[in-house]
Amino acid sequence: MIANILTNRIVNDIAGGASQGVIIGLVALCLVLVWRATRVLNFAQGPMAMFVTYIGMTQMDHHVNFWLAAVISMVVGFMFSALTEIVIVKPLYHKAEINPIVVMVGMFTLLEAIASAIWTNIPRYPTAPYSSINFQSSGNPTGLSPLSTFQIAAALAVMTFVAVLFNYTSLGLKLRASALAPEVSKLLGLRVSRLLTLGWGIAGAVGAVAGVVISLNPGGLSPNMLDAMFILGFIAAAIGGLDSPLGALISGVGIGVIMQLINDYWNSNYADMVAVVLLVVALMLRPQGIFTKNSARRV
Amino acid sequence: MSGTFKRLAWVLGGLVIAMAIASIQSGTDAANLTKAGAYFIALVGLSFLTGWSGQISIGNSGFMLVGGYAAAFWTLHHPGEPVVISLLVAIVASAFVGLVLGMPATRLRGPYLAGMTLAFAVALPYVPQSFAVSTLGGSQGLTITPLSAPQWFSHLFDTSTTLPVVINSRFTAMVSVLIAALVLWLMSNLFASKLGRAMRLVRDNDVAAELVGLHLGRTRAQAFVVSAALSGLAGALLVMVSGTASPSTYEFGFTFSIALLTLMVLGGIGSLGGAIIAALLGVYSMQITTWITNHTGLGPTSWVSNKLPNLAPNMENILFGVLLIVTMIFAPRGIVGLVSGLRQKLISVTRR
Amino acid sequence: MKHMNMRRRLAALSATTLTLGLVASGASVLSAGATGSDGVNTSSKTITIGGTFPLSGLAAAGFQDVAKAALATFDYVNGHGQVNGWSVDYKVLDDCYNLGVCGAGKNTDAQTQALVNTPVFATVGSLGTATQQGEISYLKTNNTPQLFVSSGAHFWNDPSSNPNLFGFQTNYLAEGKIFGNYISSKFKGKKVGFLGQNDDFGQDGLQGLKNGGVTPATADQLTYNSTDVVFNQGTFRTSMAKLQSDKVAVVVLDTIPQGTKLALDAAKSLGFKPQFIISGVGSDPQTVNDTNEKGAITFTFFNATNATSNKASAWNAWASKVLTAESGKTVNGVKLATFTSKSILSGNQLYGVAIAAGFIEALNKVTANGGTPTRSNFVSALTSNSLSTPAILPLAYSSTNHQGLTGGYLVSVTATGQATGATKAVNTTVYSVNPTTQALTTSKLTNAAVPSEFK
Repeated sequence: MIANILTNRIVNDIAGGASQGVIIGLVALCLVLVWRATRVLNFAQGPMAMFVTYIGMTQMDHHVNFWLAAVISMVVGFMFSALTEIVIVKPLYHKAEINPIVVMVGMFTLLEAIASAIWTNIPRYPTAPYSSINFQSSGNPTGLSPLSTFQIAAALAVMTFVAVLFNYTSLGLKLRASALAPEVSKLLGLRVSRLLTLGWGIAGAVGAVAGVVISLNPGGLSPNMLDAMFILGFIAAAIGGLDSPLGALISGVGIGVIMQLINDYWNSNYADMVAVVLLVVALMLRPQGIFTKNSARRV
Repeated sequence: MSGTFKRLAWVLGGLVIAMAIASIQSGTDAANLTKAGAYFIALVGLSFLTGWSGQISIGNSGFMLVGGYAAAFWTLHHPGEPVVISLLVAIVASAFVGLVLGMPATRLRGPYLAGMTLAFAVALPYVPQSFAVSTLGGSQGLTITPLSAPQWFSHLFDTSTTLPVVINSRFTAMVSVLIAALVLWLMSNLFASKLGRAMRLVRDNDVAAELVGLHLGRTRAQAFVVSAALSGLAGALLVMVSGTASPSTYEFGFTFSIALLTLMVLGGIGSLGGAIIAALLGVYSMQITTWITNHTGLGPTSWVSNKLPNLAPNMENILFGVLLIVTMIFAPRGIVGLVSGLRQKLISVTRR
Repeated sequence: MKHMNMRRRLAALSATTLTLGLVASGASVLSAGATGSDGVNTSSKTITIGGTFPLSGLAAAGFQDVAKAALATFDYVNGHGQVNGWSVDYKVLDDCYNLGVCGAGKNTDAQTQALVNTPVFATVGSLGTATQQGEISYLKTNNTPQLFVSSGAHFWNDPSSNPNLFGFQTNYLAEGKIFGNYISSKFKGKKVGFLGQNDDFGQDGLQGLKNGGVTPATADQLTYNSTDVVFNQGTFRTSMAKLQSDKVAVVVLDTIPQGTKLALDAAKSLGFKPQFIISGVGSDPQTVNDTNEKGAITFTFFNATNATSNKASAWNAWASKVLTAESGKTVNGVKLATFTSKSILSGNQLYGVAIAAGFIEALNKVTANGGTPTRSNFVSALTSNSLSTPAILPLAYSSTNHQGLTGGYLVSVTATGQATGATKAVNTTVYSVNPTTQALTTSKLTNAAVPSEFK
């Protein structure tokens, strides 16, 4: 009975789709964290995560083990993202909302080009700590492998960390306050500027996790590895609502699963288009995203 | 009234000069000028939507695709008819798509609108690739005979010293500049018109706009239609010159939407002069970055390139990225803003 | 006041048009040389040609090797005896494959227009099906031959409407037929599945398979979109799962290298171990770089690439020598790859050497008795001679056939990895498919000698 369920076609699709979807969800989560903190749409999220993943994972060539390499990626990711905020994003607050977008497009082009120059366009394949061969049940493959289970677990761990940090710690309260009402927070004595930088740093570390997790997939580590994930992540974030971290993860997983079901039961050629149609429909119904609390714009 | 004529005079003056340049240019520069004309039209279209009505669009490459395909489709089925008709068909088709997309899009703000238009641009190339393959040519697209110089035009040049290729490129450059000048004149008038003022009010203060009786949704949708029509015209122009509309045409992909956005902001958002600079920057960015690379000791034979063999092919992209970041931080109003700022400073210095 | 603003604005704008235009035309005067209207300079005996390739961006990995190897070959020949006193100036321009955020200006249209206006004698070896198809009409109108297009589509062969258009490699129809022929003799009665790209590559491959007598069940004919390799990788998993549950024993992959890798990995994770037969386009073991590819059968029109065959085949030995001699040089602004005598040739590098060799052979015929190359005598030299290149079949065009290579043979992947990927011959039968009649003929693999003009 259980064996039947574990090797069932739909269940396999859902499991396979979810392991793709958590990566989309992680990228969406980064976008949401940055948006919530500073009202900037970080177009360079993908390349920033890619860049720090390279820095960490290439250490494995020097006999650093996977876990340490991943931690290096996260730490560098935090610092790099925070530094980006200080140096190139800060001067742009209170300017037209398109200006930070363009700066981040510049960052996008710059980082991908530098990565190609240093590490070339030829993909690298970091050795994964777990096997990618699916668990078997009564001789038939299930939808998950040790590796994809690890990828899902890593995403959930990050999500939990973010949720606890924002909802149950005083630092989280300060972060939320400085993002929602910077002027009031300033009056209350919060060092808003530093907190915004911290918000970017956290997003950078989360992005590094997404980068490390995706570099273990067959596509490996390449300068453009997160480009497609950025678009899907952006769609997920818009569907979920740019203010909702949970919404980002849920809609990311949702997109992954739906695409996989279309691949299997309809026609894979329509899978990406369906993601787009989902976005349009979702935005028609809820122009501020599904998981955002309705807040009327005050005059 | 007199304003309209003054604008016309300025545009005509600029046009004559540009045409004169086009007639003595090398073929490569003429080909670049042709593209610059089309890019200018697309940039004005985007500038109208984003700079004047305040709606961020990352989907204008999609409208260019619609215009390009419409022109190719019409030309294919009505060979020998004037090019103007193909261009008009393209404008109508893309304006219609602009209306369809613009109506729901008017409910969305900021990043949500950006997201939806990006999704539109990402998804659109799949349409001719996967649907109506027999009509739209699938992944191979539609092929027409490209625009080439007519007899009378060739006779203007000494064909023993000027290549036919160069004459063709000069001809397309002139056609492109002519259409671009027409767009410039129309848009500079539109900017001063009631619709232009309405747009700016909607952008700057939508509450006030509603108070004076403007229908926000309708005004925003109108902006979408105008923007789409111009983008469609630009796409059609490119197709008439290259002879091919296909899903893999560079200007029809979403990356070109992003390139347009960055070029527009570099030039100066919402400014017609900025759009001209941006268009030229768009076609000459490679030459500019290559020149900088070779004159700063970063070229392929330099010491750095010996250490990093893969640096040279990526140098242009590195410089382009740096240029975007630096301009936005130090000149957030783009090159046009930088120039006018410098002039202000110059004036105040001389007066002192 | 408002009008003043507008006037100033327009004045500034006219001025900018003027200055930028003048700069541009000034630059053009400086760059004008003595080259004739068709890219042939009779005084310096130089013929200028060009090609567009992805040198940056996501398609650059692998494909840039084609451009660099071709450039190395031309540079080597220029420095080692030339071609009857003529040298070839090969302009390689980066078109980023029309993909990625490579900055404006790096696209096939713009770069092809730049080449045409240089002017070049012809485009040679420009890479990509969709990218090059977009240039047919433009190049034809501007009377510039489009030679040796690096793509396996069948529509380069259309001499009646495009007399100056020449394909190069064996097309997917022929490759498919050769696969079909092999499967129906070696895997008789086995169930066959197919996964192909959803464009002419996959469609022609499947049609060829059918022409060769193998028709997979409708449920086992699967497709993917070229963009799925980044946007929708899950489709490779569902495809392999379907073929696995249908108990397919032989899987034909008409996939690009990234797709091959995804399919092989998905099969591995499912514990699915069929015999893989992979299109030559998507199988280069140095590009795919996946241990699961070992044992797969693939198709090539070059001698198998491994450490010993670099020496065993005369052409491969010559290609190794050229790449070693040119290693790390900068030619026409492009830095060539590092290559030592111990490096193993990749399929892409042999491809680059082959297009250059084909051009040099034809140029050699045209200039043999002090002749001056023109576009028309060059095209007739192509259609009236059989040209020797590193490919195991001669490049044999005719006035009614502009396909180029018509066949190849089967090899199996013996080692994978970036520097070590290698193949060996399955047997020594060379198959050839007539591009018009689709008739299949066989011959024995021979070690062709390198003509004396290649020093």
